[in-house]
Amino acid sequence: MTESAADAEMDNRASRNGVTGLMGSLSIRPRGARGGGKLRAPEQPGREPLSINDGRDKLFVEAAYRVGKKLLIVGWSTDLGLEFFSAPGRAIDARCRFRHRRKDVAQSLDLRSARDLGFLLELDNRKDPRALLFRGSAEPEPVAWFLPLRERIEPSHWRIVGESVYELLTKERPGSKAWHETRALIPAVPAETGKAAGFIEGVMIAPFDGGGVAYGWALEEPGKAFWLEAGEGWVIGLGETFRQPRRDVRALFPGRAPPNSDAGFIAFLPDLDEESTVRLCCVTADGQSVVSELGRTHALPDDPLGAAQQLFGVETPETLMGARYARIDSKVLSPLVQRRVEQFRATPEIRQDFGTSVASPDVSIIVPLYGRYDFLEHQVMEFCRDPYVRSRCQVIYSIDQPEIVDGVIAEGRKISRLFDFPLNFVWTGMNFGYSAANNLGARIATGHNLLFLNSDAIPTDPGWLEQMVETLEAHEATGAVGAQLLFPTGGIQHAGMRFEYIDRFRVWMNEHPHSGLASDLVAEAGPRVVPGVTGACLLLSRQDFDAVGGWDMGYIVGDFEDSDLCLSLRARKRLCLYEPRARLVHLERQSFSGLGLGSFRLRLTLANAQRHTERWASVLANTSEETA
Amino acid sequence: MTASERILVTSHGHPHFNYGGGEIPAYNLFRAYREHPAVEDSFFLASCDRGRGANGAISPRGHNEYLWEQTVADWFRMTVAHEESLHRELADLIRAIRPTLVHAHHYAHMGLEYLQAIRRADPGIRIIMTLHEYIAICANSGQMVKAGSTRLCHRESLDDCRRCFPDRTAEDFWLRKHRFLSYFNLVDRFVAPSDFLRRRYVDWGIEPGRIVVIENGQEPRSPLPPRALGPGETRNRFGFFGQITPFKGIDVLLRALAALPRSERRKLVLEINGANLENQPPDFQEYINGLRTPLEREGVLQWNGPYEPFQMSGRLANVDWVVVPSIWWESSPMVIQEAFLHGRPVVGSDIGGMAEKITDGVNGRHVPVGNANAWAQTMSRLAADGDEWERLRGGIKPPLSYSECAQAHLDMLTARREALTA
Repeated sequence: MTESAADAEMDNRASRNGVTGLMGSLSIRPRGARGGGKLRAPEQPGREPLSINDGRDKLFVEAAYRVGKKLLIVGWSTDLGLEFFSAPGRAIDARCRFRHRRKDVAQSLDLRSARDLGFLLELDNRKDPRALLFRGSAEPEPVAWFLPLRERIEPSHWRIVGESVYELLTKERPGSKAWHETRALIPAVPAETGKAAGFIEGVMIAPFDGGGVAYGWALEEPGKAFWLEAGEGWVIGLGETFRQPRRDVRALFPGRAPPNSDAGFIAFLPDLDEESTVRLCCVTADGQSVVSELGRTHALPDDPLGAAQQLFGVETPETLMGARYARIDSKVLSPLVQRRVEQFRATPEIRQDFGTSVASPDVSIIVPLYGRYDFLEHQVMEFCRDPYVRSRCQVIYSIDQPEIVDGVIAEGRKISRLFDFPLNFVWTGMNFGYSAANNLGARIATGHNLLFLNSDAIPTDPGWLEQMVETLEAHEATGAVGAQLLFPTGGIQHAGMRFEYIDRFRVWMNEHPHSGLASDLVAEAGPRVVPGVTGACLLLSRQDFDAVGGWDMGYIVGDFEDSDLCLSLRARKRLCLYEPRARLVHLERQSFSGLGLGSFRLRLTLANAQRHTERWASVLANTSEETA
Repeated sequence: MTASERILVTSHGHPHFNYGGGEIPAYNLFRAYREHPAVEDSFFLASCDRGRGANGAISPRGHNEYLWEQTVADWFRMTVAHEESLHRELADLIRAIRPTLVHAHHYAHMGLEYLQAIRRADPGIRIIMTLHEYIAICANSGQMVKAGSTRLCHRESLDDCRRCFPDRTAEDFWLRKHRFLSYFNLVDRFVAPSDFLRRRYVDWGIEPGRIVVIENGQEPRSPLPPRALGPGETRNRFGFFGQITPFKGIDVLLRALAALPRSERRKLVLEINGANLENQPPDFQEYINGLRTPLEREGVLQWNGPYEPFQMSGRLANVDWVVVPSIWWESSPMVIQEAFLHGRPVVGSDIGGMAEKITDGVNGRHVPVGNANAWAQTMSRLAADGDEWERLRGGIKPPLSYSECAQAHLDMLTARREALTA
C-alpha cells in the first residue's frame, strides 16, 4: 500500500461510521490493574510524548473533548497493541473508535509506516475521568495521562472527531441543552462544503405573537442532519416538522434523495415575529452550515379564514391535509378562531324589527345571511302562505356580512311591508361565520324551539314546520329534527346524514345518503332516527340548544358545525330524527358561491374534518353502524 | 242583473302609445266591461313611459283611464322598478276606485309585485290574469325559442333553460319559476287566448282548473267584399301584417318567392305591411333587404311599410289571403282574428297558436313551419285555384266580439262563484 493509498484509507475510515476492529479488543479490563499498582502519572497533560514499552514506543494524547455524554480523546501511539482504561480495577465504557494514519508522526519519528498511529478514543463522560490509563503491549503496569480538555475542537482534529460528533449530535433532541453544547463544538463551514441541499420557501407570521410557519424542503441524505432555527438559539429539528413528499425536489436531485424520504417540511415555530430570520441549517461530518435563510417574513391576517387561505396555499397532498392541519395549521388558526369567538361574545348585537312578531312563539326561525339575499323574498312568500308559520313563529335573519346589511335591510323593509309579514334582523357589523350567525340569531330568539334554516332552503308547501315541531315534541329523547331537502331538479339532497370514515383522508366525513334519487324511491311514512341531520334545516328546543352551548364556533367556514351540534346532542343522550314529511327545496351552496369549490375549499373541508374527527372520534365510531 | 262589479283592467301599455297584441285586447275589454249590465264601472291602468323614468306616478288619461310611470327593474325575475308607488299611488288608486275585480293583462313593465299590493290593499278583490305569451315560462322574451337561434323549444326545465343562458345556473331558473308561481298563486283565474298557450302553462305548473281559454275579442263589423278581379286575374295577392322581427318569418316568405321559377313567381304578389325592420339587428335588416330588392324589381313584392289601425281594412281589401309565417309558436295572433273579421282566409305556420286558430282546409291552410319550398308550393297552388279561395272564405266564422269576450269572462267568474257556493 502506497502512502497516498493509505491516507485515502484513513480518510475512508474516518468517514465511515464504524470502528475499525483493530483496537476493538482493547476495551477490556486492564491486566494487573487490580489492586492499583504504582502509576507513572503526570499531574499535568503531557507536553512531550511518553516513552512506553521500555522506550521502544511512544504515546501522546493531544486533546480531549467533551461531546454530550461522551469524551472523545485524540492522540497517537506507535504501539498498535496499546490498551487503555479510565481507572484501575474498573471496567468502563471506553472504546477505540478507530486508528488512523498519522503521517506527521511517522515523519517526525522517522518511521516507515504512518498506518494506524493515530487513535480516537471514546468513553462515557458521566464519570468525568480526569485522566486515562494506558498500558503498552509490553508493559506490566499502565501509565496515566491527564486528559487535556479543550473547549473548541482544533481544526486539524475535526476530520478525526467529526463523524463521532455528528453521531452524538444526531442522538440529541435538537434544541436541547446537550444538543446546543455539542453543536457549539462544531466548526462553521460554507454551505457548499457540506453539499447540503435545502431551501426555506416562505415564512408566515401569525398575529398576536402566535408564532409562525416556515416551509420548504431539505434533501436528507445519509450523514446530513438538518434543523431550523430562528432568533437566539431557538431550534427545532426537521423530525419535529410536518414532512411531505416533494416530487419536484426529487426531480431536481436525481438519485440523491433517499427512497421513501419526504423532502418537504412545514414547521410551526412558536417563537417568531416579523423581525425574525429563519435559518435552515445542516451539520455533516465536515461541519455545520446555514443552507438557507429567510428574513422576509409574511404577516398573516388576523381573520381565521384569511389566514387559512394563505396557509393552505402552501401545497400539501390532500391525503395528508388532515394530519398537517393537526400538527401545524391548527396551532396558528385555533388561537385566531378562539380570539374571534371571544370578540363575538363581547360584541353587542344591532337589531331592526319590521312589524311585530307574535308573542312567545312556538318556533323562532333563524336564517343566517351571507352573500346572496334574494332568497329572502322566496322564503317569506312561503312563510306567508303557511298559517302555522304566520301565526306561531318568529322569523329572524342574522346578517353575517357587514357589506350586505344595507341591502338586506332595504329588502327586508320592502318584503315585510309588501307581505305584511313581521321580520327581525340582527347583525354585529362583523363577519363571524355561520355558527356565530346562528348563535346571534338565537340571542334575540324568543321561541320555545329554534329552527335553523339556510337562506337558500325554501319550503314547498305549508305545514312543514308544524310537522317538524310535532315530531320533535312527540318524544322526550328527541334532540333534533331535520327535514327532507330536495335539489331544485327534484332529487334528494338531504334525508338524514351519516358519518363515514374516509381512509384516504383519515377523517370522518358527513355523508348524505340517497343524494340525487327521486324522493319516491325512498318514500317513508314517518320520522326515523339518523346519525345526524343537516343544519340547513334543523329544529331543536331552546333548552337543548342552551344545554349544548349553542353552535360550536371553532370551525372555519366549515361543513361540520351541524354534525358537531348533532353529536353534542347525542353526547347528552338526545336523538336526531329525520322527518320526511317536512319538505323543502335546497339550492345548496348558492349563498357560498364566492368561496369556490377549488382546492382551497377542499383543504378547508379536510382541516375542519380533522378537527371534527378529533373532537368526536369515539362517538363517530359508534354511529357508523347506524343507517341514515 | 245588478251592476255590482267594479273592474280594473291593468295593461303593460296603453294602445294609444303601444299598438300591440296584448294592449289592444286589454283596452277593448276595459271598454266592453263598461257597457256590460253586470258592471257598475270599469277602469284602465296602463304602464307608460312619459319620459321621466319610472317615478311611480299615476296620472289620468281620459275617463277612468290612468297611466302609471312604472317599469321592471330586473326582467329575469320580473321585479318592480318603483316599489314605493305600490304602497302609495297604486294603493291610493285601489282605495279610490274600489274594484271588486282586477283583470290583469300583464306584469311586464309593472313587475309581479303589484298583484300582492292589490291583495294587500283589499284581500277581497278577485284577480284574473290573461296570459299573452310565455314570459313566465321562458326567459328568452317568452318566445319558447332557443336563445340565439330560431330553434323551437318544446319544454321548459331547469337544465334546458340553463343551456339557453349559460351565465345562469339551474338554481337561478328554479328561483325565477318559484317567484312567478308564488305571485301567480295570488291570481284566482287565468285566461289563455288559445288552448295551445293554456296547455303550455298547465305543463309548466298552473293547475288545469285555474286556467280557461277565452279568445281575444274584436270590434264587430261585416266582412269586406271579395277583391274585384281584373280579366284573367286570380286570387294571387297575399298580405303580411305585423312586426318584422326574426320570429315573424318574413324571410321564409321571401325565400319562398325566390325559390319559385320566374314564370310561377310572376303569377303571385306579396304585400308586406309591417313595421320595425329598422329596429332589428343589422345583419337581419341586411338579410331581408338582400332578399327584398330583386323581388321588388320584378314586381312580385310590394313593400307597403307600417300602417295605422284605421288603414288595416283598406290594406286587407287589396289582398285575397293573409299570411302568418311565424317561426315561433305565437299565442293567438291578432292578425288571424282581424283577417277573419274582414273575410280573408289565412295561410299560417302549422304550429302553436296559428295551427289552432286556422283550421286547415276550412278557413285557411297550414304550411310546415319555416319551410320556404312548402310556402312556395302552397302560395302557387292557392293562387291558381279560385274555388279553393271561395270555399275557405265560406268556412270563416265571425270571431268573438269585445262584448262576447267580456261576457265570457264574467260567465267564468259566475261559474266559479257557483261552483264555490255549490
